[in-house]
Amino acid sequence: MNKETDFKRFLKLDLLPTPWCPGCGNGIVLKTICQVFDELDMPMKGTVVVSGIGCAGRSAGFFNLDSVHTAHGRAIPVAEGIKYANEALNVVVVSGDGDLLGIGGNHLLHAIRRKTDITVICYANEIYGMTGGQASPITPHNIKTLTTPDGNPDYPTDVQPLFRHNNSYFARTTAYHLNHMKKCIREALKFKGFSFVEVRTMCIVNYGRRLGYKNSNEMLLHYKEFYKINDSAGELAGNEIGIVKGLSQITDDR
Amino acid sequence: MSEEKTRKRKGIVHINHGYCKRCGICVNFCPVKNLEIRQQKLVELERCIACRMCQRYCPDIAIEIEEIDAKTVITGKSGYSNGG
Repeated sequence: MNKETDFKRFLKLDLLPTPWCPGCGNGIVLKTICQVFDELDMPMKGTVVVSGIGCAGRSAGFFNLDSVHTAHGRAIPVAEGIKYANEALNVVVVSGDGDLLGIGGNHLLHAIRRKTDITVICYANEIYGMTGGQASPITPHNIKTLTTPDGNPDYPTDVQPLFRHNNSYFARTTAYHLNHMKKCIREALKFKGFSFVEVRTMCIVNYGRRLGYKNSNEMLLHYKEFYKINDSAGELAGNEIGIVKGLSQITDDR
Repeated sequence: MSEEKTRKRKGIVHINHGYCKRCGICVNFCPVKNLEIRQQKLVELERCIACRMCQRYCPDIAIEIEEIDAKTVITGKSGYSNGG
């Protein structure tokens, strides 16, 4: 074991390979989370991973840590309960965009308000991948999916104003920008308060194919060209990735 | 000729065929075109320069690169690619 493969102690290697499709980006994010856990030397008996339902929800079982696979959309309430029961635990929520923003959107709204000290890592593949590719809350406008064959008539939701106003941590990153993803997750785990990392990952089988991508590598290269790193902005535009910390003066004024 | 090839080589690719799903991300990321999918199997062509791009981007944790001293001479095609 050397430095590059030390992160494997956080994985249940006998359960691999993962159940995800060939070319799915979830594995890259799972690996990066483990690498950051290894970098920060998170305690094996003091870290809890909670996940919801969906493709991304499957990842909680692969961590060699205590983990809970909860009901659809209810990952954040369970994580908050764990944190209130034992303040010493590091609680990490790992789930997808449909689970956190769609089904569990209400819970996210109130978790931001309560500012519990948990970290949420959202695998944002812009689709409900496990059920066949229905449009999710962050599917971009005019994008063809299973339920919107003529293009998505709605506009994607943006949760970063909520985080800014409540002085919480929001970061957006992609599966292509590995070092940036590591930085975002590391800062989120260190942050005292509610922190949210949105990782754009690629779903080739149920999403990319309909858009005309031939393989997942093309989607990765699209992330490389489309997203620009901007870590100093107070607000991220649609094609920017970076870290948004809450503006303290807004909370002071209230 | 063979000595020339061994001198350039700096890494050994360990492929875990039990984990590999043949998605082809590593094939596209490799700068020296070292990896290839042949007959539904990922194979290595023994020109790895140990840049670790495939290891970093592999979603299934199937590839591990072992860095070796560039001057080490390897005799023949060893069974290294069977991996762990």
